[in-house]
Amino acid sequence: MGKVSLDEKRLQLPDKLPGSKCRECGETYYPRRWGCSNCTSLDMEDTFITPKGRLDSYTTLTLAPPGSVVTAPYSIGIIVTPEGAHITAVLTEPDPLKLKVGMDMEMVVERVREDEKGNDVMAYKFKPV
Amino acid sequence: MGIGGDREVVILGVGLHRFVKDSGKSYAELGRVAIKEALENTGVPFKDIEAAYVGHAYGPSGTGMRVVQEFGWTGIPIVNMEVACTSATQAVFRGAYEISTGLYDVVLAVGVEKVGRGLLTGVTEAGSWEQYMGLMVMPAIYALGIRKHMEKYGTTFEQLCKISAKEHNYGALDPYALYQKAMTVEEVKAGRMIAYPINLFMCSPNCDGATAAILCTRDKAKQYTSKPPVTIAGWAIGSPKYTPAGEEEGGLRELARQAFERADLGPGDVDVMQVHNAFSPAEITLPESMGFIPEGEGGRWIDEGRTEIDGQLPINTDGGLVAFGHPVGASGIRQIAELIWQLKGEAGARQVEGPPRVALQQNSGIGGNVVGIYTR
Repeated sequence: MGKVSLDEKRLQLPDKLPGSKCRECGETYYPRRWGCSNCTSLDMEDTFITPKGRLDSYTTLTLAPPGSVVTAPYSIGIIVTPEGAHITAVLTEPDPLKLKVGMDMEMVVERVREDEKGNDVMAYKFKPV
Repeated sequence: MGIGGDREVVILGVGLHRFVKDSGKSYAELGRVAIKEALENTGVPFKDIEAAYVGHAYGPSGTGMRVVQEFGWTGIPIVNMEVACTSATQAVFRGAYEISTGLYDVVLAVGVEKVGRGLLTGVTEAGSWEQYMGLMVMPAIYALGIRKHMEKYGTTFEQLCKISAKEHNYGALDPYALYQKAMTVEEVKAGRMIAYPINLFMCSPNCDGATAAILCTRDKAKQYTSKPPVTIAGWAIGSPKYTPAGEEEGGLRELARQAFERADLGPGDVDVMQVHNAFSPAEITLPESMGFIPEGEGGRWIDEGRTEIDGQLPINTDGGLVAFGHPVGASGIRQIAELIWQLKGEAGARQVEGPPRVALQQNSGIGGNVVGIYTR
């Protein structure tokens, strides 16, 4: 069976994070933006975001919301990439005692569910380096 | 004048439907209770209402009309106001603006909402990445923010529990609140963890509720009551402003500054405050971000009781969203109601000594922040 992305706008298989960079002020965004949040320019270029960064914050949830593919307990965090993009992602490490603000994280791509056609649906999480 | 026109605008009075879970009532059945109470409290006949603004986030099209027309089909303009959690406040501001500019003399502002149990799920689109990956869980979003505060300033889980206990204790003093059971810090600590450090008792619960306020010109107020009403002195409204990497977020401080400038007052004038405590830690982060508490000192202020009813700067004297619950489109006028009661000396067991002369309201939502200043 084939692999499909959970959302091509978030994850281009096999492992690319589509973002945008403003040609006028240089701010970088993930996911893609049509207009620059910072300077309002519409002169945006497509770019790919570095799939690693620093853990800015994290929390561990004891319940998973309806319709989600995660099981509790699970941790989510905000990763800030070298370009300054912020990525909110599920972390592979659920145990908060093993996580620390400032730690280096890198992306992993894994199957999160199967679709109606039997394809593996892929999404990313972040793991401590 | 600070609010757009020449005429001073007052809040003549307010009314509420007690906040409850699963009321089984329609928007109209909830709203009419709050409106009736406001009309009775002010002595204003419904026929005198010249326009109505109805704040709600989740009602279908036509909700405002169905609520207000419970009282009669007088043909007045009835406009729905949707700005998520600030809907009701912005209904007040819009109505006040139109009075100040001379368009109307007497306006009704309403907030009404029904929110079912469970995690607030209206914030994600079905089938979205956020939904599948469990990313847009509101307690978790707040938890991400407060953890940074804890790491940077040493704010403790115990201090957050103290906030929650204060909120529940004050809610117990308010007959309109959803939760009316006082809690000790130990009882709060024992609460089920949702997303560390936010536990069950630090979350404002989903519920149904309705709130209403009658606004008019100061001159016209004398026609209805000899009791001095409360003046809407100034306000500011903003949507989220981008903060480039490396810069400090300053949106809320700027909003407060703008509201003070319009009201011709300063932060030192504020005697009592409401902040948007969708989760308990907000009672630290929001006053800090407006400059009322020095950055990082919020935890210490909690330990020292400085934001309690008899403290230096009483905040959320009715327990705020955590104790009342958060019927999204109604909460804004609930905040205003508590500030009105405080200014008028009608807050009973929750009364701040004085009584206070200047009150500040900070109300936030998805899509924006508002700051309102009310004076007596």
